[in-house]
Amino acid sequence: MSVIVALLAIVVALLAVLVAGLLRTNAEVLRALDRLGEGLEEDGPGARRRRDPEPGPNARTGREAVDLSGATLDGGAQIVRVNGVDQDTLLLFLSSGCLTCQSFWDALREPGGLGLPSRIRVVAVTKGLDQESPSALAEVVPRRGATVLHSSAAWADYEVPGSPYAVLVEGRSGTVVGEGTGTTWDQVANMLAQASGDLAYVGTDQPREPKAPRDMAVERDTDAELLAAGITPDDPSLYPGRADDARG
Amino acid sequence: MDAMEALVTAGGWLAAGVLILGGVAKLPEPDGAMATLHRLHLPSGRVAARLLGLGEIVTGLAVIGVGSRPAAAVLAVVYAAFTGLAAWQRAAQLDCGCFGTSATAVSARHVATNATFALVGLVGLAVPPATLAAVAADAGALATVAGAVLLVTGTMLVRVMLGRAAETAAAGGLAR
Repeated sequence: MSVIVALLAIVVALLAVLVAGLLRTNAEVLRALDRLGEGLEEDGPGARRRRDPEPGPNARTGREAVDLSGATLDGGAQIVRVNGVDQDTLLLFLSSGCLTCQSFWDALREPGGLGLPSRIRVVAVTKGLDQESPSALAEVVPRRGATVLHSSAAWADYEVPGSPYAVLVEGRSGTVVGEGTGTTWDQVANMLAQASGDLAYVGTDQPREPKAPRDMAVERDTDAELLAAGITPDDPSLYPGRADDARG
Repeated sequence: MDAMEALVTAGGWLAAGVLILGGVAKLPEPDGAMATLHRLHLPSGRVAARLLGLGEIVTGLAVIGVGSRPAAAVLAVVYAAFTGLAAWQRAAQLDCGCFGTSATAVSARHVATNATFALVGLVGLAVPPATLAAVAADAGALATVAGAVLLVTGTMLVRVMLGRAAETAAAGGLAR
C-alpha cells in the first residue's frame, strides 16, 4: 500500500511542477503582451498603454469651445479667440518636458509647419510659465507659424488629461468637433480627419517628402533673419524681377 | 515496507513507465530513433529502431515485474546511458527522437530527468525495490488498479513536462 501512496505523492508533485510551469509561462506571456502595450482585456491594465490615438477620458465632441487667454513667452498677455470666428482652430496642448511632445514641437518648427491649410489656425498651448521651464520652452517653440500660448486655465477649461492632446474647434459654431491624443502628429492628424471628415489633416495620399535636417535648419535661420530685418513674405525686395516688370 | 523502499519502488516504476512509453512510441514512428542510431554509427534501419523500442518495452516491464536489485541495476545502467546520450545531443543541438517524433529538442529538464531516474536505480542497489507481486499482495486488487492508474498518469505527466520543456528549448526559452 505504501508504494501506491508514494506513487500518488510523486504524481501530485509532478502535477504541482507542471501547474507552476504553466503559470510561469502564462505570466511570461502576459508580461510580453504588456511590454508590447497590449492587454488581454480592452479595459484591463494593459489597455492603458495603447499606442493608438484615442480620445481623452473627458472628451465630449460638440461641447462649446471657450476662448483662451494666457501669457506669451516674453511675459506679455494674449487672448486667442476660437469661438465665433471664421477660421477653425487646432489647439495642441503640449509641454516642454514630455518626450512625446518633442515630435509635435519639431513638426511645428518645420518651415511648412503641420502642413495645414490657412483656414485652420494652429495654437500650441502649454501650461502657465509658473509650471513650465521658460528656457526649455524657448528652445522648442516655433518662431513663426503657430501661435504659442501659456495658460493653465485653458488646460482646465478643456479638461486636458495630459500632453500631447489635440482639440479641434470649429470657429463658426464655436464647438469642439474632435479631440484626442496620439504619440505622433500623423496619428493625431488621422484622428482629426476622421472626427471632422476633413482630409486636409492627412494631406494627399502622397507621403510628405522629409527634408534633410540641415536644409530645414538653414531655411529656418534664413526666415528668422529676414523677419528680424523686417522682410515678410511677399515683400517686394524678395522679387526684384517682379518689380522691374511692374516698372516696365 | 519502509518509506524509502516504497519511494524507490514508485520511482523505479515511473522510470520504467517512461521507458515503456518511449518504446511504444517508437514502434509506429521510428524516424527519430533511426536518426539517433545513425548519428551513433549503429544500425539505423526501421527494424533496428523498432527493435530498440521493443527492447525498451521489455526492459520496462521486467523492471516493474522483477523488482529487487537486478531491476535497479538495469535502471541505473540504462538511464545513465540515456543521460550521457541526452547531454551529448543537447550539446550538439541534435533532436532526441526518444518518443518517436523526429523533431524534439533536448532540454535541460530532459537531461535532469534521465539523471534522476539513474539515481533512483543507484539508490535501488542499496534499498532494493519491491516486486510487483509483493506490492499487489500487500495492497490488494483495488489499490493495485489505482496504482496502475497512478503509474500511467505519472508517466504521461513526465512525457508532457518533457514535451513542454522541449518546446521551450526549441523556442530558445529559459528552460533550455
